[in-house]
Amino acid sequence: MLNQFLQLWRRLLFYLRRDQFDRELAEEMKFHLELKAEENLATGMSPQEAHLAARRQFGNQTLLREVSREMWGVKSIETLFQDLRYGVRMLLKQPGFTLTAVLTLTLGIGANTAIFSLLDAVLLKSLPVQKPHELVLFGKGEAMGATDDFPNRSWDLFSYPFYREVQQRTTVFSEVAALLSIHRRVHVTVNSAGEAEQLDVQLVSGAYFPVLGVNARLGRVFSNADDQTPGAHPVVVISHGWWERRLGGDPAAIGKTITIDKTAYTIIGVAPPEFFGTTVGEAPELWAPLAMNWKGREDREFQSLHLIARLKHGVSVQQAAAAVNLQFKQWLRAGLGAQPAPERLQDIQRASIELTSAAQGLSSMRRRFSFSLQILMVVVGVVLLIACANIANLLLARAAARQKEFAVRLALGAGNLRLIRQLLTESLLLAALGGAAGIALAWWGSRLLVLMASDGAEALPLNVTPDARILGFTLLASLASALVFGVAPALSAARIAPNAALNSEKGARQTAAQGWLGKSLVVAQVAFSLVLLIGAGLFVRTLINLQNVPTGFNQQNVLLFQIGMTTTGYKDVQLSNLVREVEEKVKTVPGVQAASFASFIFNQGVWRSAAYTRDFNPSPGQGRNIRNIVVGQEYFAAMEIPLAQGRGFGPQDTKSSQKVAVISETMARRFFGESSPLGKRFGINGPASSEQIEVIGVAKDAKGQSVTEAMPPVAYYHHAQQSESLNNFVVRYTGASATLAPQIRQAIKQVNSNLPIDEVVSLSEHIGRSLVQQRLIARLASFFGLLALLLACVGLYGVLSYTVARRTNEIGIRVALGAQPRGIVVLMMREVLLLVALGAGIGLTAAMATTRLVSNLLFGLTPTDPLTIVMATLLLISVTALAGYLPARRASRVDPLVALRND
Amino acid sequence: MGRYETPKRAEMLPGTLEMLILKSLERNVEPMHGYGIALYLRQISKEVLQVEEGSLYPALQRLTIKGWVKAEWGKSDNKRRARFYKLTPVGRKQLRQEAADFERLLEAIMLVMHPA
Repeated sequence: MLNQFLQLWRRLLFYLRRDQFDRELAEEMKFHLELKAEENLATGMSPQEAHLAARRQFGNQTLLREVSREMWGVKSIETLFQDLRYGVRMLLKQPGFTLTAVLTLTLGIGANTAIFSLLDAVLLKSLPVQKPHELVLFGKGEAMGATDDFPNRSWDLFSYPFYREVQQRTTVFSEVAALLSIHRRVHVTVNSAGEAEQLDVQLVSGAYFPVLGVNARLGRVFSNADDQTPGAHPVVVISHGWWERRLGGDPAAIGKTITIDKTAYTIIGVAPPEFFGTTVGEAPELWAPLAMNWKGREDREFQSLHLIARLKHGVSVQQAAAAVNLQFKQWLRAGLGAQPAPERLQDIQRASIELTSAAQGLSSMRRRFSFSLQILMVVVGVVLLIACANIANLLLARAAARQKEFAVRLALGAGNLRLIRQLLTESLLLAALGGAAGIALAWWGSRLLVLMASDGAEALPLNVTPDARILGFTLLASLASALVFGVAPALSAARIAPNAALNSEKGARQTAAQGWLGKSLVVAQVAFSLVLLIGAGLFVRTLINLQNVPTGFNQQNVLLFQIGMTTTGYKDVQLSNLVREVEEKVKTVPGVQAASFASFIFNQGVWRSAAYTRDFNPSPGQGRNIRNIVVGQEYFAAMEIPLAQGRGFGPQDTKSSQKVAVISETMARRFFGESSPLGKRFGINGPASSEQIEVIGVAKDAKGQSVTEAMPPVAYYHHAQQSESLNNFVVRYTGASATLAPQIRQAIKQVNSNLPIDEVVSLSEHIGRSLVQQRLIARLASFFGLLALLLACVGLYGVLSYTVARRTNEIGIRVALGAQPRGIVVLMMREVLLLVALGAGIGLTAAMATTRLVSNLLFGLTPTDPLTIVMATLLLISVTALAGYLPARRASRVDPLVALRND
Repeated sequence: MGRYETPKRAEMLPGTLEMLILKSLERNVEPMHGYGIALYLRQISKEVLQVEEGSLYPALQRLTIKGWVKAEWGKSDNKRRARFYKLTPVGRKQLRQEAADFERLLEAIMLVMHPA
């Protein structure tokens, strides 16, 4: 191995000093000749004879020199440079062709690289932590949990007591960390007088940084000692980005105090610049100890934590999983007390924890986007193939035009292989140019993609900067393209018979085989484009269907404000009074019809709990879980969710009055059957609570998490009776929202000038954000489908123009013999339509076979939706026919005199 | 031409030239130039092995590429500049290997030619 490397090194040195080597070899030979001549002289020859004899004996010096050069591998290097030089000259000679080819490749390779960058960032990249492959996650990282129902699958979220149990008694992990699954936005002021800034904070256990093996860039990170007593550890680690942005990268920031939602925290460390946490697609600015701001610390059933652990050296994932599951079941059993219900014991048997690799971190993005991204990767791969087919066609035409050149070279003694190599070098050159430009395009495109994949105004914090893997991918894509589009023309050039090519008068006859190849490439392009167009159509119609799904409330004419109520530090009555004051004040703004706070509006997470009534026994498939939403008095009016029975909330519902709830129709049906639920009672704090809350009304069903979910069972509570963070504020209005928003903002500030208003957005836009994945794939699939169509049209146009040029003579004769322009057009169009029909037929068959692979991504239509297929096919046929018509019309205008003289 | 009679040249077994060059370099402790190697081989084989220059120099370069010999410029006996070749440690090992292989081959051929 080493020796091979040294050999290569010696060859390279030799190549760089080849002139010197030539001189030295000549000198060595001269020396040899002289000695030989001396020897001959000694045998009695005359000096002249002696020299001649020496020369004769020595043999062919030039050959010797060539042989040794070849041995050093110089010849192949020289040939390569020759080919490259020649290739560059040929490309420069036809700038139009070169530009078209490079642009097409740039689009193809750039699109592939951009999608791959996103795929890499979301799916493949390892966390920037120590030995990421040793990290395991409990469950699959899905941020869906139940507080006290036992899910019938692997668990994803865990309670704090269980975390402590695992951390203290594990035998398979070197350390275990917990992080809160709930995404928290907090208001932070750096100087007590400054404006509050909204930041993401991740609550983590003390072992979080040690488990990951991440050290502070400055100061220190947490240890277990920072996470002991609730409320007693006001310390934060801040992100490198925020430290630079907000604190000017000042080293004196360590020890400084910042205020997070009314509590003062001390900065103890700055995380390293590359560390963004453990969730791909999120990048908190702050990390704080779990002990500081988390209520469920002692509650065995409050399951909101993700657990990440590092395997002990030599312990396999299977061994660890076995140990953890045993520990989990024992712990669950211990929590049930001495006399558990048999139903609960069965639940424990079902309970399980799957350990998954945490090397790539957690990500809700991954779950949402991975399949779409894989589909898009296939789509852009097909686009690249179509682009390659185009270039192959261009090259074929060019090879035909260069037949005379090739024939001359062959006649002069160039080998077939040499010609093939020359053409492949030119293809590689094109691919290299396209690849380089493609990387530049991807650099920009991947950022655009991230923006398109983001559901808010800000871009998702994803690292899509090209790394070694992405560059390697681009290199491979370029090489593969060069092979795909370069081989056919190269091989066709090698089949030239020099005699025939030189004798033909035009020197640019296309052989039947080449024409056939070009046409089949066009057919393939048409087929591929049709598949992509049908796919795009399906995604677009899915998006339209999703946008028209009834949600149960009226999205129009509602503004959604995000208000930082937590910054006030108010609780209970004080908070409830502030909420009522804001609601009443905003109501006085002209144009406002109703205004209400709410704990959740749409796609913001849920508070789920099990509900208990006196007689209700859930059927196995349904469970007792309901969603709880805390709202203001006018919530149902603001959202236009009609009440089916009973009343909504009113001033009579106070902290001291009977606890009441409005429930959704689905909840009413599930828990109370056909009888009227009004006046009936339920509870959400265990079986003993079943008499706590009285039902006062039934609201029509409304969705809360996604537009595709089934109507959920929901209970609504009044904020006066149920303390909860209320950051959402919805306002229904008439008239123009643009003039109204500032007035509402002003009204809120009049009540409390310190309330931070973080965002104002229309409700319909907010709902639209939940469709970001569908919108992304619909937009990109349409873009690439149309791009594919365009490329196919260019290909068709090229092939047909070429046919027209080649058949100018024939057309001229036809015209001279009395053919009408119409007849010529029909003649040419027959060829076009034949190609398109063939391509469309193959494309349709392929689409029928493949679209069902994406049926998971479709909504409200089947993968073989007839309308979509018909529309896509019509679009394809009309556009390609137009692309074919242009050269056909040119053919019909051929002047017979010119055409016949042309040859 | 009849005046210069040379003994009948032996056809060199393919692949043996490199071994012979290595052996020459090993026997002569001092580095040798190309002509010296050719001369040495001729003399020691009693004029049977006539190394052609057209094969000698390419072979020397092949050996250089492989790293079995090292070439350096120096002064010859008659004070002229000449390229001298010497054996490298890798070359010495290679020589031992090739010599062993060759001897085995030779024995085998002899067994065929003179069956017991």
